[in-house]
Amino acid sequence: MKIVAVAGCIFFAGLQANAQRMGHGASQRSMGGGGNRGGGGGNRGGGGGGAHSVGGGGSNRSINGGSVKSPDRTVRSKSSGGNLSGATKKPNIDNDKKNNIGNKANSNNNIGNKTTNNIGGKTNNVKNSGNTRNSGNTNISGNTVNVNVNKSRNVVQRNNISTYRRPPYAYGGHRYYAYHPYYYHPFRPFYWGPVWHPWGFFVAALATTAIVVAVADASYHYDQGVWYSQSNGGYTVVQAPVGGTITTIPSGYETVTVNSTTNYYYGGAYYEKDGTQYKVVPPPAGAVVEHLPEGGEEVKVGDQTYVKVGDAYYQPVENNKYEVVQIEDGDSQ
Amino acid sequence: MKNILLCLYCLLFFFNGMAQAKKQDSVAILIIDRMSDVIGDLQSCSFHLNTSQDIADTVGIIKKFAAYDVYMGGPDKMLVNAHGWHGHRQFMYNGTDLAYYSFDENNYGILPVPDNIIAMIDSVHEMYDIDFPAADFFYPAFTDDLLEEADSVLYLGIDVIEGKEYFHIQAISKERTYQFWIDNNAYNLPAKFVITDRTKPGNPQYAASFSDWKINPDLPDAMFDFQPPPAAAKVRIMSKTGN
Repeated sequence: MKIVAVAGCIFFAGLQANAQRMGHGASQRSMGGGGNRGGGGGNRGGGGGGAHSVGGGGSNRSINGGSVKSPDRTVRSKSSGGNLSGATKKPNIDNDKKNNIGNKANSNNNIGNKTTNNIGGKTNNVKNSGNTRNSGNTNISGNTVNVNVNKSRNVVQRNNISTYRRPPYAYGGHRYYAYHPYYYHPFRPFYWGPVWHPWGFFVAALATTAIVVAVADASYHYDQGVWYSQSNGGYTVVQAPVGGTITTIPSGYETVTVNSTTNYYYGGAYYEKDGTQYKVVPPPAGAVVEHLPEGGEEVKVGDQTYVKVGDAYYQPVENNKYEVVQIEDGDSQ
Repeated sequence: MKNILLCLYCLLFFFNGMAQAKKQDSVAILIIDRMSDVIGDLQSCSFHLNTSQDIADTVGIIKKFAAYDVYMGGPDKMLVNAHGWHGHRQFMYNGTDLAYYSFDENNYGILPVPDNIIAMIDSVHEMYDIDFPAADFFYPAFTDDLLEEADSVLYLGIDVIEGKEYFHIQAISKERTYQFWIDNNAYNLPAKFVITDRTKPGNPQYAASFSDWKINPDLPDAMFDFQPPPAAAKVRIMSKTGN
């Protein structure tokens, strides 16, 4: 299965590489059964539900509930100096003054040694500033009712690039490919003028310039770059239906060339020229656009923050732009 | 019937041979147990960790570095301040939620998590691939985990590094080689470790060095509570399954 998305970067690791981690079956069993996902049993206190518990005091304030040892071990740590290893130099546990194994640790508390956390030290600008609507243009009937942005849409995406120079970013069993390096900038939703509305926006009536477009078995209304579906006695803005064909798109579109194909991008939708018409197509992987619509959501994917618009993932890149990520199954190579 | 008995005998012999193939050095186990016992008795601790990590790049393996300040208060408080190739980030766990804050991006996510440190670490690893540095050492059955994972656990002797003595222990599994250096002093705390991936080209390594261990420091609960900085954006943290 291939999932297409939007973006492009870089490293092979998640938040940390799994290489640093070993299996913890014994610990998990000691904590009350395999997995222990989301349950946690509070304080294990030396007894803990598992099969073992030999050493370990199990103070209920312990950072890990107290150490636990399996009674099933074939080799015990109490054996006196097993010579299995071919060690180059063995410690003399009883006599060597330098060896402190077995001695009780002296208490050497360092109360009060903590650092200050500068959580608020950085102040970045954030959202929802600067995107002002142009005024003075035609406004569809003035019926602005519920601004209810629908974030759950099915935007099918196109994985159409086979050669990325950069290794993908890997997370959760997927590889995220993009041409441009990850370069975070906060997401600010963009408005394409006063007659453009985000997905989920409801109006009671449409302008007379709206046309009806049939796509598959469904009927849509299109007006000035916005697609509507009739509902609840009015019209709700929906994502542009793939395959929908129109004759004009508003002048504020961006042109995006991917794999020698020119796409026209407006209002979060991609179009391809088909003779004298424009046909809605899924977001093409590798496309770089400047504006993303309201309804996009910042999502932390491992270490990287993408903007999810419909089912497409956009990677923030330099110059305040976004690239559609190509997502494929598979871990890092 | 005779053939079946013969097969069973062969199988028993085979599995018995497999079990015996593990090399488990009792001195190594003693040292690791001692370290694990001390960690298990800690009610709080803090330490600094410097790590290096080999990662695959288009030009081959390259090395990346990071540094962490870790604070743990039993049983359910943890703070990790991380600098390095992933940027400047902070993880704050207050017994209920884990906050992940990116200083570079000024955004944060909040995850509901289990109510103790180890279950939290295990949970976020499983669901979000978030791995805390050197977390292995803090699992309560660390020695058993290692014995389960490794075919061989050996004590290699004492290494002197920059004038200090450490017990050098090696563990080998099919996929990885582990080397641990454990303080030869009263505490027997972990000092360094190197994990070598035996399965990938170039045998990439993950190496880490502990420093500035503090035993049972007084860590006020308030330091584990996350307060979003002004203008910080809240983002959703996607799980490995895409939710």
